[in-house]
Amino acid sequence: MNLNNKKIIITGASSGIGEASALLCAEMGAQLLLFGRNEDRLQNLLKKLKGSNHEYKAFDLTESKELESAIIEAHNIMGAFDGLIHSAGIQKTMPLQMTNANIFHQQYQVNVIAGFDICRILQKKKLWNQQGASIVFIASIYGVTGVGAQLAYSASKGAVISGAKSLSIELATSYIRVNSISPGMVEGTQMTEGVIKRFSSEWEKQSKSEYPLGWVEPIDVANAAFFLLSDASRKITGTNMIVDGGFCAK
Amino acid sequence: MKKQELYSLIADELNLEDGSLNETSVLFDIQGWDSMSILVIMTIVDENFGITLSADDFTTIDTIKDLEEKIGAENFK
Repeated sequence: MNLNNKKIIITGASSGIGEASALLCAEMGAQLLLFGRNEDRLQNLLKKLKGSNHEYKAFDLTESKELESAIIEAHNIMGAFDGLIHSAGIQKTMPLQMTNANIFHQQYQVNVIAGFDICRILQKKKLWNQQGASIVFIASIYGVTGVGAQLAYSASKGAVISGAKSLSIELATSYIRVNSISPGMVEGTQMTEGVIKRFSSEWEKQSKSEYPLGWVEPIDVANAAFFLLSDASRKITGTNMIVDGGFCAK
Repeated sequence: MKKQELYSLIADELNLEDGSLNETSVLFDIQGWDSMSILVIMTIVDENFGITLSADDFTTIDTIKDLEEKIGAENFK
């Protein structure tokens, strides 16, 4: 398996799963367009990537006007895109009574709308490789199972999973595959650190004990994304691949 | 934010009567207090002061005054 000569967009590339995916995809031969909020981190990441000609743009995915121009500008330099990993995501832990419409809007904008909007722009402007492409949305097991105090986040991830399925049907005639990956708790990410801090050290121990193979690491999710982007998965579309160390098997 | 505004915000989110909380109020004695109440207070502190408290912090926060001290006097008007 490789990603030789494939041009791939990765959102949320400045940290966690997005960063691990960027490192792996570049290692496997891809040319990347990286989106992330933190310019310094993106520049540092760029230095670590194998290969050259990678592009990046630092901006907030809630600024949709910048999104379209950034994609078009990169297309003019890189050419047609073969893949997308939508890894950008935000999560807030709070009880129902504080989860107002604004909280939903914030999390849906990044977790759901931005990813599908990138697909819309690429499709409308015909910026995909006409021979085919692969889209991977990073969802969450909390889009499949329930979790307390994360209503907006889990609802947004459920939307990502079901939206990816619908998109897989719509884009099949364009030879574009669409899948999602649902990781369990991912060790060492900003999001996980935030959740640990919200709860307690005791909670972390308890949570880890519920994962037969332990918490996931960013590279585990990146490996799954690599497979779904590669031609080895050419007949796989509309699936939600769970990467959770066995959490959901119980 | 003034201290009184914090009391009112907590009272509102925990569905208590305005004016029912003061510095000496013991959190665990608040009617209906549970683990979600801790999350409510953590969210209020995060959104209004930019300070991220952890559940572990609440092992030493017994009263509203303890909470104020955790937030820091310099963060109140």
